[in-house]
Amino acid sequence: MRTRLIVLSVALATLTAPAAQAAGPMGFMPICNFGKNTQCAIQFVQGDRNVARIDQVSSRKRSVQFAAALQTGNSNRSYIGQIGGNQLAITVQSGSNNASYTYQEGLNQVSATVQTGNGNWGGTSSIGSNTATAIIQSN
Amino acid sequence: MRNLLIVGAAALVLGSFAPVAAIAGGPGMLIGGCESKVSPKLVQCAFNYLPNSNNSEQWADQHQSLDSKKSKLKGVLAKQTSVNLKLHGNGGEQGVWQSQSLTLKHSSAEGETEHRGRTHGTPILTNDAFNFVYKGDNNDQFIGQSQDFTGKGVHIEGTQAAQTGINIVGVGNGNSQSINQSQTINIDDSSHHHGDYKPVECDGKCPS
Repeated sequence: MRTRLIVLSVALATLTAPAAQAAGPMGFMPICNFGKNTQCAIQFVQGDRNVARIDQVSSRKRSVQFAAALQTGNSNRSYIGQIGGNQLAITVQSGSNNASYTYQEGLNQVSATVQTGNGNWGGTSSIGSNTATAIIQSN
Repeated sequence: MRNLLIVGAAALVLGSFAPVAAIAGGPGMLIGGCESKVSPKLVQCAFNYLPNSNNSEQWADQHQSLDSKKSKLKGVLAKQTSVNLKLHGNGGEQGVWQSQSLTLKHSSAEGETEHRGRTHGTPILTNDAFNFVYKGDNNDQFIGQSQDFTGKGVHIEGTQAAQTGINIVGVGNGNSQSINQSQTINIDDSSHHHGDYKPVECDGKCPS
């Protein structure tokens, strides 16, 4: 039941919001639209042995980039790479023996990795200025 | 319970992406459901749906290019929307390729115009891509998006570019998800100063 509720919640949040349809061109995806230059990537999976990868490149310093990877299950893999500007990366993994890696190369950059379970591995690499990274792991 | 969720998800997609009339109206109505209220200059809309299928492929490939000289444009200039939806299936592919190229020279591009004449930040370039598998194993989901925006002597209001990619697998094992996004935006700094440039009032129909 919990699994189905999660799936339904994500689908609802992604696909609905009639008010947002009227508010902007995103229509069925009101989640991201920050202004000026914007890039938005979201991936969600529930299960075991899944692989997720996000790459974002922007040529302009004042751009906004956002990436989120959500995985629940065991032995999942996630990678997020961002180059080029203001960028935020969020990885959430729930389960055991998961691995994630975040690479950021640009100006202002924040990354956060949250892992719950046993045997998880998290890594980050940041090149540039004004970077902040955090890996939070709990059993 | 599961059947209810499946039906609900399908109804949500159809209901939000293309109004109910789309079911009876066919592809034409589907495209109508993708338009915004401000009559975008370029609109591309793709929707692939599979209820149950193994080793199936769902792809949407969209490319837009617009060059404008000495014109005044209002509304969303370019918009691409792709949705790949599969409820059940193993070993399939869902993919979206979207690219947009916009070149404005000595033109103005404003956002959505409200009743009172104000403008607010409607993106000039918009890419939306969504891959969804409700339940399946060993599926591949891919989204590739690129935007190239060059402007010289332009007057721009509102969001310049926005692209969104979402991959979701509700439940499954051994799936692969990938999103690749790139933006190249090159606009004269002076173009953001309002009032200096007086565009030609011909709504994009001026001879270049």
